[in-house]
Amino acid sequence: MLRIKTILQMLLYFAALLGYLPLAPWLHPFPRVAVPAAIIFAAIADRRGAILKDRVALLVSIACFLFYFFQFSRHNVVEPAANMLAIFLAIRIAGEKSPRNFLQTLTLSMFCLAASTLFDLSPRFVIYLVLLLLAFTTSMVLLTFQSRAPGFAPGRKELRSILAVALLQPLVAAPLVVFLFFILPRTQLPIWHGLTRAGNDRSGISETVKAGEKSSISSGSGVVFRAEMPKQPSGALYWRAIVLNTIKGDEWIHAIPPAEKSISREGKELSLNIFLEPGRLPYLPTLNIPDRIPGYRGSPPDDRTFPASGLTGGRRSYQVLSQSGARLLTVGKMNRDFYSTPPEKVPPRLSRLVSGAVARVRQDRKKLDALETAFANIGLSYASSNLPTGPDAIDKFLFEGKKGHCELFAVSFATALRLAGLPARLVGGYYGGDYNELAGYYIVTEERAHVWVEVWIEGSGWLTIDPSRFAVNFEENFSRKRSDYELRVRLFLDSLAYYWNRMVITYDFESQFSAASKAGAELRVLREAKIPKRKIMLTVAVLLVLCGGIVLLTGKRTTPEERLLTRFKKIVQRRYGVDIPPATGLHEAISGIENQAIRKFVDIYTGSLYRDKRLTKQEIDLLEKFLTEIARDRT
Amino acid sequence: MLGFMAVSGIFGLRNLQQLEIAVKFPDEIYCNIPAQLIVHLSTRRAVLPHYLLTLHLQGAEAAIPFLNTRERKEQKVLVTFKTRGAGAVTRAAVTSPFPVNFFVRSNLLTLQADYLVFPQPKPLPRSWNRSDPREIGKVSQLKKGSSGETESIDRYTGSEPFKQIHWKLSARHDDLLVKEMTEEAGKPVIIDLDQLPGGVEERLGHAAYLINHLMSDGRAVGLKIGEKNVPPGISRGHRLRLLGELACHAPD
Repeated sequence: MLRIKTILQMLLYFAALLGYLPLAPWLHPFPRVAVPAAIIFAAIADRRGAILKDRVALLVSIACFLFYFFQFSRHNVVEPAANMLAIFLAIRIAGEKSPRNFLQTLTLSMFCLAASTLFDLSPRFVIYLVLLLLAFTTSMVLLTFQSRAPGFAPGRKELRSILAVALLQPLVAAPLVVFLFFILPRTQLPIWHGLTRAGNDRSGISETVKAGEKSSISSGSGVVFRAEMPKQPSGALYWRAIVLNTIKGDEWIHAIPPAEKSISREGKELSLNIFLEPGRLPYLPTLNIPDRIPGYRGSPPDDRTFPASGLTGGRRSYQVLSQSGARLLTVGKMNRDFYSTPPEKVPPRLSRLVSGAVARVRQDRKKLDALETAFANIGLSYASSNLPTGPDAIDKFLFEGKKGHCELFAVSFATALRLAGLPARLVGGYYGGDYNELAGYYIVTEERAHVWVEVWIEGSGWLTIDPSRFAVNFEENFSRKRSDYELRVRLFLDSLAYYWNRMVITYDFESQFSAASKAGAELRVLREAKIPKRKIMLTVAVLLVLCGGIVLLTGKRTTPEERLLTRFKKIVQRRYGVDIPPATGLHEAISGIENQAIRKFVDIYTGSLYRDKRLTKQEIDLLEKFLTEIARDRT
Repeated sequence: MLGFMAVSGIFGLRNLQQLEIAVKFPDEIYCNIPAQLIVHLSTRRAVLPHYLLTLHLQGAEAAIPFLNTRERKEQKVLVTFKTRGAGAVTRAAVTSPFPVNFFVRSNLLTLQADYLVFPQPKPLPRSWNRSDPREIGKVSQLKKGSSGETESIDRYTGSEPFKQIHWKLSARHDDLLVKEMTEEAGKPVIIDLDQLPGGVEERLGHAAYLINHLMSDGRAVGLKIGEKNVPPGISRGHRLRLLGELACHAPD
């Protein structure tokens, strides 16, 4: 038979595993091995009655504390803390199992799970949390039995009842937890935001672009953000993040642009909500061309990019008001020289190509057309591996291999534009996205990182040109490669992550406030709405009948005898202060009361009971009469 | 955790509700001598059992780790009463650390259980030089025995011979009953409280001792207490009556 102690030990190891598993990928090798090793050691040691001696445990704890303490720095807080927690957990598991140590181990498991959220806050966390809470609460109840009634050896039925009530509590608490989650006041600055590891950055875009730097591009499938919006044509999905406007050596970088006022024109107005995945993004992705982000702190630069630092309170979601497919019209003077400076070193063949294409062209628009035609005629194709590298990568790309990725396309075309005297800049961000019809949002992954070009044309402003479209295989490369079924499964699973992000991660004070305002407004509408009284009465009546039916079906059925006895006991208690416990004989209980009606009641009632017969209708009426008499008795 | 703590609080509160208590006292309770009380704890609940209960009654405690639905459990507790006389237990407390040992909740249960505490028996000092108290009083023919007439019926205590068990009557009751017989004997004894040494409480103690001592010897004992005279008798019921008179005697 299972003893409480054995169940407790099993629950403890289970809880420790639940705290350890989500944290394990981020741990150093020693703590990563230490926790499972401690569980195995403890499971064997428990049978043999051996434990890790307190003195040894203390020495190991101090050594680990000192080791990780010296690794702490302003920029490295989380990692040493998480490793330290895992080591402490391992030590506690291997040590003595006193109630105090049990509690400490459970708490450390909780801390480990909490620490894992500083590295990765995926919906998996909920599963671990729920299981850990179940293990935690069940252990707490069993621990109470073990410490308060050490000699108690429950039978199978009793043990089942104890486990059931222990499990029932977190289940009953679940709706309350959800309610409290939405009600309890929360900070606008999630604490984990400041602690999140810088190494966990996941964006796919870089803050500089250098052609020929990499021979292949990464194709990570990690989600960068989700955008809640209506479905759009795929060609319209350019997600703007960063603008690289200056060439420094052979690198395109972002420099503070000259002051310039612009307005977006001829676009389709869209409002969308973007939910960022945890990780550091220097710029907030927006749908090209963004007008504004409500609540954004300060004024964004004139090139319509939004540094992430401007998002107030460390929020992870924001609204974007965009004009899809618009052009940016410059108001007033535009600093043409800033955007037209070509690189110091230009491949001679590119120079010849540009000068040949725009030789007799004067107008900006025609120059652009000529260059587009020239690039389209090269016969370039899109590739993500075996890319040309080195200082003459552009030359190799355009005239030899003719294969490249978006950076090579964009850098070479922007260079060509600048050589032709046209102001041009690179825009970094993402292209495309998978639309989740179920939840109505786009999911944008790292592999969708993209670079394109903006060219300024007199009279038209900044126009978006995607040089990757010059590739003969552009469509097949940028359309979905996954099968329809695979995509559906992926999107369905992603919906869970989306709702997690939407309902939990980004649920802040502002969301609370807006939910409260919305509820208030709906209540007002309800109050103002004139609902006919008859309808209300009918609804109430139906509800009452339903409730009555449920009570009749599920409620305990009492016999007339039971009802009479209950009333009798209540009256006697009220009038004479005599409590009649269930097992006490009625004659004995009323022996001290001088009341004829009480005596008669008891005589008739017990008489029927001893005969093992139900009371007759006349007897019930008589007993009712006596009860009225007793209740009225003023003696 | 906040949600769980709230729910555990409700579970803890409910754990102490719908409980009923009844107490059964032994026939003989002596002052300052631990008496074994039988406590019955029952629940009216039909759904959830009660866990880790501790009963607190008259300074004594009894642990009931598990009380199933609609169950009635019996626990024995030792209680020492410090004063003689009639009394009643009207309150008992039930406490529990369930479900999570953070707080111990308690609930008061009401009950009505009357009891009578006899004076603590005290042997007479050896130095007391009065004539043998057994000589006080008139002559009787009766002594508790097994050969004479049936004097009374009483509960079987384990010391009576089997032939004294009244089988017919026992069959109709929960307990075994015995016939208390008389036997030819010497002088009966009447204890005169005023003639015993010491203060009132001391005299009551001596009287209680004498009653128990003499009656266990089979002697018929009577009592003179103030103006009241109780004629000699030999049955257990008579002994309890005498002790009851002592218990209810007014203090000095």
